[in-house]
Amino acid sequence: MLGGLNSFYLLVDKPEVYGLPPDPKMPSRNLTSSSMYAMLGAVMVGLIGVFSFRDRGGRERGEARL
Amino acid sequence: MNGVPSSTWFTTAPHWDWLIVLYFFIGGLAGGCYFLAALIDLFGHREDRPLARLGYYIAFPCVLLSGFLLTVDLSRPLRFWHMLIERNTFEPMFKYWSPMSVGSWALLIFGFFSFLSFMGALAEDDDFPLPALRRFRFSAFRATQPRSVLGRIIAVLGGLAGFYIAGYTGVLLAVTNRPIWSDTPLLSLLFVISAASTSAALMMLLAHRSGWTMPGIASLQRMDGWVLALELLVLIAVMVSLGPVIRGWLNAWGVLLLFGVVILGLIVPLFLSWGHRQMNDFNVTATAALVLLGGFLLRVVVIFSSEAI
Repeated sequence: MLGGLNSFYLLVDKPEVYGLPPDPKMPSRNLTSSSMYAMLGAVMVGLIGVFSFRDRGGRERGEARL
Repeated sequence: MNGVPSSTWFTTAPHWDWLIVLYFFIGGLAGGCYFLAALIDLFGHREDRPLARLGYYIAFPCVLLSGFLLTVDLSRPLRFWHMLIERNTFEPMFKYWSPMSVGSWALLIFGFFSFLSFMGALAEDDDFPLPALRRFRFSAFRATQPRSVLGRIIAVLGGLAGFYIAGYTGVLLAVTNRPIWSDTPLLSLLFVISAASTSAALMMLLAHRSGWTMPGIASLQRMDGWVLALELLVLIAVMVSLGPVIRGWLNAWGVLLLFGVVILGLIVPLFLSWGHRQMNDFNVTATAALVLLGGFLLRVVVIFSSEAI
């Protein structure tokens, strides 16, 4: 059962007989989770960027001591 | 249809071709370069400022090219404004639930911020290499640079819009009723990270070819190494999350993914980047070129492998 399609199909046999999937899913179910993963990616890239550019001072001081 | 691994296996393809592949790649570069430039501007050191300007110089032309590619891809290009304005009422056409609609507005908004930052970078750059553009150096745009409060606001908002441009294409695929695309929610994560790795590679390559030696280039290189490692992990997570649908990659597209993206685009650059403490001219050029090639091939595989089913 899929909501929001504004269509109703009455099948008198299993969906597979008609070439239809037995367990259909709405792709829009991915909207929230996919958006969250994109945000997670931005946060991870942002953190790697901040540490890469901010860490330089410490790294250079460490190398100078060697 | 018995035994098909995905409920989307029976749907028809949207027939996205090379224009969309190019848009996904160049749009990712635009968003990624701006995102990195804003990061460098807000968190980097003063001597890294030319690197940030380089990011803004890449982002704006890439946004223009992205809009052009999307417009040409329409069956009726002159109706591109229908994506933004309702043609009968002339009210804004905005559907918050549709990544394509929000993405169209995001591209417009990002274009505005990238224009401001491009002009700001041009205004303060005394060594801009293209004489034809020097006539557009207006001092009023210096206020858009991150040394001012207004400039910081622009960098933050533009960086967020840039991140959106880099990632929404993955969300768009995830909500499109096609095999592979809607069978994993992780493509957006993969695209954001890939946009960062390709953008860092392009900035590194251009900075190196320009003969720059500021310490930020080493930071960019270090960052790209970590982002590439992360991208490899996320790509593996995408494959695992596909489950039985991964059989859609048991063909020539899978071979291209393995050799073109994983080996050439990720593992070899990681080896070159982490295996050599001092990068020579060949290593920098080869690493950046391979990362860019891998990022492009990733989008080729993701789009065309689903189209082929």
